[in-house]
This record gives sequence, C-alpha cells and structure tokens, in this order.
Amino acid sequence: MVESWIAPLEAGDPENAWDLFIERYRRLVFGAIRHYTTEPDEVMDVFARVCEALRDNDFVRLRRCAAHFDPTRPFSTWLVVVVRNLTIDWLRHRGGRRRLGVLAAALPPLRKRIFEYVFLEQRSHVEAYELLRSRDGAAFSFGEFLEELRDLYRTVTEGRSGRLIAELAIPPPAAEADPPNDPAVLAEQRAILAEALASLPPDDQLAVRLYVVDGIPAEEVARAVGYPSVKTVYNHVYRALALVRARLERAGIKRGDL
Amino acid sequence: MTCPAPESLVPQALGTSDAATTAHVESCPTCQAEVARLREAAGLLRGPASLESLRETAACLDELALADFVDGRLTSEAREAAVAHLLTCARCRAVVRATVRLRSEAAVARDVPDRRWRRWSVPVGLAAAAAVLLVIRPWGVLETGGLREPPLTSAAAPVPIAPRAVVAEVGRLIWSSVPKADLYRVRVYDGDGTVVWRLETADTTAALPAAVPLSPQYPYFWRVEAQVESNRWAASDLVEFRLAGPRR
Repeated sequence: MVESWIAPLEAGDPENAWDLFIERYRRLVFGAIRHYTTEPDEVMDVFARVCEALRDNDFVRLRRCAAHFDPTRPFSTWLVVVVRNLTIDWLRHRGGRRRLGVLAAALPPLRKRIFEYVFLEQRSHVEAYELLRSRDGAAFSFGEFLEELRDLYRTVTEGRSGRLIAELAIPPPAAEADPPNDPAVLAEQRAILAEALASLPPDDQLAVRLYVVDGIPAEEVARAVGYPSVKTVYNHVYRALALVRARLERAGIKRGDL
Repeated sequence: MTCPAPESLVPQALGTSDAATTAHVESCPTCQAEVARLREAAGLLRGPASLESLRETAACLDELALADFVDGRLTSEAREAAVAHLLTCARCRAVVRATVRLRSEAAVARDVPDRRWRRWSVPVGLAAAAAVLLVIRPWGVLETGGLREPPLTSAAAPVPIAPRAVVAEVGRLIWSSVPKADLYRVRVYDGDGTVVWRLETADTTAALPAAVPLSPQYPYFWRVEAQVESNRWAASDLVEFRLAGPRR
C-alpha cells in the first residue's frame, strides 16, 4: 500500500507529510481513541496528545516507522499500538490524571486504596492484597479482597470512559471461577502449571496463554504465532489443557480444592 | 450420533463455538462432560493472572515489535525473543490484546463530525495549548508512591465553570480562581478552532460582548489560562458549549 506521506517526510517537507498522514489516518486515530472514551473533551484532548507525540522531536516516531516501511505491512497495526499506548499515557500522566483523581476521591476508603494499588500503581491483585494487609491493616481474606476488587472494577469501568480505565488493571477473576482463598496456593498453582506446560514449545505455550487467558480470537492467535489455521490453535490448546489437567490431578489440585 | 473431534470442543468450552457444535453438545452427555473438563482446566490456567502486573519495564517490546508480532511478521529470531518476553509479561500481552481488538474496530471507525480535528492536529496552534500547556494536578490525596513520573507541574489550572454543554445564552464566562494568579487569558473558539473572542483580565469572570456572533446548535469551545509565573501559564481543559435554539 502506498503511504504518500513518507516521500515528503524523507524529502524534508514534514508539514506536508503531516497533512497527508493526518488526512489519511485521522479516522483510524479517532476510532481507536473512541474505543476507550466517548467523552468529547477527552477525545479531543487525547487526539491532541497523539498528534503532539507523533510530531515530537521532528517526527521521530513517524520517521522510525517510515524507515521500516514495507508496502506489504499493514501500517495501521503500528499506529493502533501507538495510539493505544499514548491514550493510556494520557490517562496516567497527563489530562486523564484528573479523571482518575476524581474517581478515586469518590470511593469509600478501602476501595480507594485498592484503586490506588491496582489501577494507579498497577500492582498485581496479590501484591495489592498483601499491601492492604501489611501497610493498611486490612483484615480480610483474599477471597473477600477479590470480591471488593470485582465490585470496584465494575464501578470504575462503567460509563463513557470505562474501557480506558479498564486498561489499567488486570480484570479480577470471575466469582464463578472459584479462585483460591490463599495467594500462596496461587503461586503454587502457577509453578505447577509452568511445569505442566514446560514440555510444549514456547510458541505453543504463548498461543495457549493468548487464547485461553487473554481471550484473543483464535484467528489472531494463529496469525501472530504463525500457525496455518485456527484448528492448530484448538489442537494445541486441547493438548495443553489435557496436560494441565493431568498434572494438577497428579498434584491433587482441583478447582474446588483451591 | 457422531461426536466431533475433542479438540473442536475447545471453542465451545471457551464460549466461541458454532451453532452446530453447540446443538450437538446440548444433546450429548459425553461431550458435555468433556467441555466441563476443558473449562475447569482453562479456569485453572487463568487463576495465576492475579499474580501478574501491568507495569511496563525496560524489557517490554517496542511498538514496532508488538505490531509485527500481531501481524505475524517478526523474523524467527526476533519472534523467539518476543515470545519469551510475552510469556512473562502481562503488560505486553495486554497491548497485543488491545491492538487486535482496536484494529478490527478502528478500521470501521466513523468519521469525525466536523472539521475540528484539523486545528487539534497542529500543535503550533490550539493543539499545543491543549496538549502542552495542559497543567496536570498532582495526585494530591492519592499519595501514590509507585508512580513512574512526577506531575508535570505543581501549579493548579483554572476550571471553566460556565458555559458548559448546552446553554440558553452566554452572558458571562466564569471560571475558578488560581492561587497567586493575577492575570487570566480567555479564548473562545468556533468548531473549526478559529478564535472568535479573546480577553485578558484579572477577574475570574468576563462578559461576552454581544458583538461576538454565536450561532445556535454549533459547537464552540473555550479555555482559560492563568498566569502562574511571569512567563508561565496554566491552561484549563477545553470546554465545549452550544447555544440552545433553532439552527440558523
């Protein structure tokens, strides 16, 4: 695909290049931003931030991407990664911080603390739980903490900017998933799972993670790891789940026991 | 009744199956049991996500590498390194997940309703005010110790109070005061980002002259900057408002 903005950029006419670039990609940029927030002020602020960052240091980001340009590569994938990262950056370090401050201030004390640890400081659930107990004197089980986290997650990810806030934290496990009540068991479970999957090549291990844990569609997983079709994803996932089941059964761990 | 191959039950177990498999599983106790076993194992695999953090580290993949991974375009050597990292990094996997999702949605993104974007995309003008001068408040009450970057500045910005959203008339513009600021700069823009009115004042309110033409139903924007030091201005967010009434 011809990227008409690259030639003027390389020929020393960056403003012309920018006009061509933004004319061509503004829909994509706005579309990506609107995925995260539909608040008009926020959309325009983030758009301004994205433009600023792409123009920073004499268009260095665009120049770097142009240097790797390959007409068969979908340029939009790179742009989407950039816009996503800049949108999160805007939320955490720029105009969006105010929104986070307002959100936090409206929460009851315990939830506010959880929000700070999990969403603002981006700590793991277990780390946040341990800090709440040691630093803040909270006396509750890990299961009760997860319940609080589930309610908090639901509250702060509602509304027009909900998807944006959701990007800051790993979603809490569903209550139906019956997560263990003791974080130490989770660590043990992780070690056992790693051992169970160790016999699989790294590509297959990652495919299983992307599909089962991260919920990425099988077509996309197949493309990323280089499988010929989605069937290969299903085959590998099936094999991996069988290994996991066998290994955990040997260790005497079932979901209900955790 | 012929059961499908067990691996074709994987999408069923993870909630993305086709109608034919779903219909079969509903009537087949053997396949139902297999789906339940697969779900249980998947649940166990997901559990340890609670041990992971989304914090970015120096080892995280750059934007080009992540895009190339998503598109399946990394060289085998680069892919080996990327896969090893992705296996241990929830943050980079989150970027992969978001990219896959955004790419499918952004491709069909609707167009922007007006020409506002052009001004916003040129940082020497309005966008610079939006993006560069925008002053970020410190976390204040949050007292978060683990933030990677300090606030850009500790100066507070004024907050536009009125007009906002749809208003019957715009007699005055009102904003919050900023400690130690003795001069405020107000600008009103039309939907194209053109300044239709500007004023410098020591007050925190200003009357909009009747001579400034505002058309009902068209978007206007305003922002106020406070002079916090001799050569430093703290800018508010850009606030949109419209006049009620029939479009002329």
